[in-house]
Amino acid sequence: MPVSETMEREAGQRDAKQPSGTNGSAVPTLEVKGVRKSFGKAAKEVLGGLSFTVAEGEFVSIIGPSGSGKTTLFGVIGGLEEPSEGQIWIDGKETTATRGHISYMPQQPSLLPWRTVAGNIELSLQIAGLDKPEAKAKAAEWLERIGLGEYARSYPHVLSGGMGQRVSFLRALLAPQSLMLLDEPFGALDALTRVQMQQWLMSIWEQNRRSVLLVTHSIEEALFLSDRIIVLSDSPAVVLKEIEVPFERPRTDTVWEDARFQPLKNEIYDLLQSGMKRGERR
Amino acid sequence: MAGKRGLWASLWPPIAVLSVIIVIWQAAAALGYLDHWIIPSPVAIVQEAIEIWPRLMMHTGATLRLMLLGFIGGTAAGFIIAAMLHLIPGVRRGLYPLLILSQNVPVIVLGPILAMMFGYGLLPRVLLVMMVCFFPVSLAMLNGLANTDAVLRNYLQMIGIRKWRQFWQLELPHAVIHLFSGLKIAATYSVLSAVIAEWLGGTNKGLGSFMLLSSKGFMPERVFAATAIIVALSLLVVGIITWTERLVVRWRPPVKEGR
Repeated sequence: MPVSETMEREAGQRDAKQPSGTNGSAVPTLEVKGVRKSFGKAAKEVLGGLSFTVAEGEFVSIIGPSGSGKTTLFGVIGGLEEPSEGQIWIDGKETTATRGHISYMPQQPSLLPWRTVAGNIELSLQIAGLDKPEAKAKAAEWLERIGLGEYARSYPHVLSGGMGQRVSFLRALLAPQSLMLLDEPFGALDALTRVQMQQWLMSIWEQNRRSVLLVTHSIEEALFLSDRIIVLSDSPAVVLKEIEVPFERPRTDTVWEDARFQPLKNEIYDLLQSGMKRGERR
Repeated sequence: MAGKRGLWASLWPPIAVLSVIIVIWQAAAALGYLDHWIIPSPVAIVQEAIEIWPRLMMHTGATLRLMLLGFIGGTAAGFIIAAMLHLIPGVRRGLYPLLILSQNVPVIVLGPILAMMFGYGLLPRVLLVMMVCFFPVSLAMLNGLANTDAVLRNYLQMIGIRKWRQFWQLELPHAVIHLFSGLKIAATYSVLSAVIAEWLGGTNKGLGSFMLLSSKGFMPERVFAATAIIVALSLLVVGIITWTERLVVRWRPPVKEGR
């Protein structure tokens, strides 16, 4: 299968770029160390001392009630915002409040309307540090592979919501950064497209295991996609529990029927309920 | 955007109304309701225009040149100043209020001052047109640069875009849409201000001075002919800019509903 071959080759290249000698594989891709963030004069605390890691090649989901500061957390990890306290480490180096260390897939496709579909991917790859010919070649090759080759020269307004998010995911996947942040990537899609997109993403990701941090509202989505789930409370966000997801990979839609699925879902649901009550008391 | 049929559908009603007005005008003049030394008949205006066509075109050429120089110069100045105000931190806060305030000065009153400073050559007239054209362009640009899509900006900043690239790839393309609305205003102003600049004196060429001269000589046919050409020039430049806009922003999704 040509898809997996190239993915392995590229994954290998990425490994080769990392400094040898030190115990490279033991260093987590992302370390969030005691991050606190408060806003305004009233010092309303949004992030209440978060600590967690994402290992190399691990798929981690963050789930929490609405308004639990997930956007702020991504802003801090991406380097857009400086935490009031704590540090962010990526690939064993401190990156707190510096940008350009992650690749990112937002909730909306966020394609520049005046650039073609291929042009959008090229721009993001160039920002990520690839040179122009390399970015061009990658964009053309991969659009063809995910079946959107005929849209390469079209402007984004002709794409459907699902196609837009495929392009957006591809753009994040092809960037050389080792950590991908996915911010509720399927939140704006209808239920059917959403399930199709989850399976599509899983099939591509399982062939090319990048380190992923996903924010989602959907317990099912988190269970289907991730290796580990971090459950957050709201105002301020603290880690309520980390849950290992036991399902074997490669995952198919039989996961929904697994006997362990419903108890896990109930556990997370109860945790979220208790987290919200905690917030209401304040 | 409207196709050929849509264009015609929106054009014929005003053309029909205009034709009716002209016919009534001509009839009123023929029946002697109008004093022909104040309001000539349409046919008389056309006859006079044909008779002095070469002279009329010479004046039109002079006005067109003044207009274009002023429009291009003013647009360039507006563009550069907007980019500078946007890119250099702090400058915007200091200069933007002054820019708005400066529009309370009627530009025409600056005519005599410009003439004192730069004499009666082409330069003071071009400067006057530039000063009029500059403002709508710079204001439209500044608003376009500052009000880019927050979702797109957040995405690009998350993946680490640098300021200069953000300007070229996000802010400038976005501002181009706004820029064209400023250009259309500047283009109509450029016709008006070119004629007024010619009224202020220092030249005997151009439609403005031709109108002034014909008015003093009680030749209303010529004044009306010059007016018609000025209106045509105005429509022409706005048409050219609208057409350029369609070429440049082809990426825009087609607008479905008609107005």
